[in-house]
Amino acid sequence: MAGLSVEVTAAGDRSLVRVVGELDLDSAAILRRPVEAELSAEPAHAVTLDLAELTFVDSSGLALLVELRRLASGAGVQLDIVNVRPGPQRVISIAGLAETLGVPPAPPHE
Amino acid sequence: MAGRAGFAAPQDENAARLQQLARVTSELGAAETIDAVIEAAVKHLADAIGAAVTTLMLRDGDELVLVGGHGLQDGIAERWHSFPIAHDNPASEAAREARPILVRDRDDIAARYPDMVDDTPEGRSVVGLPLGAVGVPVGVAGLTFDEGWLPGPGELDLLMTFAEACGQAIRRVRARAEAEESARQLQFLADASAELAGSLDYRSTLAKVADLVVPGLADWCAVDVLERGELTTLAVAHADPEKVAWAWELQRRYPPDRDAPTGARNVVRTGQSELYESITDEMLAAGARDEEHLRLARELHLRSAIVVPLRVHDRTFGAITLIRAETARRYGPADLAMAEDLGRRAATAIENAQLHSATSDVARELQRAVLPADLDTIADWQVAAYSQPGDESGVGGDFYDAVPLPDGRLAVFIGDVMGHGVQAAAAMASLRASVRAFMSVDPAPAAVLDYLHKMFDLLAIAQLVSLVYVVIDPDTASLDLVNAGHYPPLIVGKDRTVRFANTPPRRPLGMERDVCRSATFPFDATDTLLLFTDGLVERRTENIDEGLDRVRDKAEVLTGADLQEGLRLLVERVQRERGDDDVTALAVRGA
Repeated sequence: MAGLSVEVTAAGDRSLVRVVGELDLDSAAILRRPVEAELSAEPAHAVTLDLAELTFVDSSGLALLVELRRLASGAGVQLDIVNVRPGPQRVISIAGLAETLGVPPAPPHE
Repeated sequence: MAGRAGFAAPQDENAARLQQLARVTSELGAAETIDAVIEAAVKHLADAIGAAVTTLMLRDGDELVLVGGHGLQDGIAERWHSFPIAHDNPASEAAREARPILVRDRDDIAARYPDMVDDTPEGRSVVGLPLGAVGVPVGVAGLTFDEGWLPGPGELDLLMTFAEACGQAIRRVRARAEAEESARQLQFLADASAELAGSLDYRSTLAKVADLVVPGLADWCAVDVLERGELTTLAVAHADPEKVAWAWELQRRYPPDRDAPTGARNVVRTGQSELYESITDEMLAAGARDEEHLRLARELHLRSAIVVPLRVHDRTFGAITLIRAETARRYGPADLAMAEDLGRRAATAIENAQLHSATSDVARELQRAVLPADLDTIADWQVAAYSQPGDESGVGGDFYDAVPLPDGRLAVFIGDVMGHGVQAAAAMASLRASVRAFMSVDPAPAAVLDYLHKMFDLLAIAQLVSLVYVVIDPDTASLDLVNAGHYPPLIVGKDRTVRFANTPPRRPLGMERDVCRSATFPFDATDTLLLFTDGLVERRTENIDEGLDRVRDKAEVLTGADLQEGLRLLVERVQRERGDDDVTALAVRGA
């Protein structure tokens, strides 16, 4: 199992969270903790989730992304999800979550 | 050193030997291992005092065991490997009476120890020195001199000083070894606790217990646990896997006697530990069913055993058996205390693992209980279902059902609680019931989805749930559906045309609601509808579209007469490379 790794760095006045690997039920906690910490950090700052190296996401992973967006909006912190690969992008689109997660919808599949 | 021996030499030589003896005695003071003591006592003593033969015997229970010899004739070491302290010979007598025994010559031997005549060459004198005569001697040094020489009183005092130093050295080395063993055991228990605490799977916990113990604390370890009232051996460990296989075979051929008065069964019955410092041949014979069994048991060379209960609070649910075979050291009370401690820690870990697996079982049972069992009896419709909870969590969040409506239409739905575990299974159970309830008010897809959204809002349910809900109408040869964030259903025509019922993506339940609009697709009596969850199409190494294509390409297998068999084949072909999520699929066709 490829697993998941998360790396948090400062990028200007916001935090950049690099998400590498596969996001699923088992690995959700690995992403949840550091992002929760960033969202509640003082002083409040925007957070970017960079999914350029996220190769797989399942429904538990989608649920976590939605939860993090909810946490961010509750805390009044901006959380952007960027560089989503075509695979996860399709899964997000099929689940009807593209708009919620601020991800461009994938072209429909024929 | 041959010829006329020991202190009977001229004065200056005598002084030199006294010096050597003093040196050997001080050497003993520095000895750190039993082997070093033996080396000093046997070899160096022989050189120092010019004995023809020196031997060292240590007490082991009621016996003296020969642990070292110098100048011994062939065959003597084998014949006198061990012998009872009660036996009539100079060494046994020295050990019994804690005083030096002197035997002048062969006639003297013949008179006092008739059994020994054949082992004593003509002209030899024999001296037995108790080691550590202050208290119970730990052993005996045996000396044989040529030409019948015997030490005088002063010389005997010196030899006894040496023997006392020898006994002290042995006691010191042993005490230190015991202290080290205790420290090692404490460390082991600390390590074991950490290992076991991290283990949530019941059987792997048991295997871990057995593996932790071998070979450091035991040559064999078996763990027996009560399962449904039967004591069952769940783990056996030995450093040699072939021996493990052999032990299982032995147990298969000779199942343990349920009413045995000793051993694991008795320990589970009484909750009391058992310690067998020495396993005797009589014990083996008493436990054996027949000659063959006894022969096999003897081959194991079992020496010593401990059986401790696995107990939490007052409940004993198993036993750990530790056995020493190849390792010479026997178990004692200190080992028993350590094993009991291990038993307590393992029992706690096993109970945790059992609780955990019981929780998983609850979720699995819940899922089984709430999934419909009677879909194949719906009049006018063929409905096939396939449900396989994921391997990893063992508990899925998938739910589905098919309900005939009074006007001849059929409502079918499938959904996925996005997350797993008991919570998901519980949510799933209530969702299926909710959908059925709303359906009875108004079965129209848009209405059902609207009710569900209202319910999620009202109860502030944050859990995300994807759902496809379909109503098939045979009169109009069409179906209406709503899709809230789920994979699109597949429609398979009798002519094997296959198409997804794609609709614009809508958010799952548990989020702000979309405008509820249903979509309509043609669907006649010969068409087959396939609903499924992510486990059928998702693979970690590929884009989801490839998974969808794979299902579409193989879906024609559903056009066969037996829909249930067709569904089974489809899942099998699609899942040939293992997926690790729940696989749930539902296929529907007019009868």
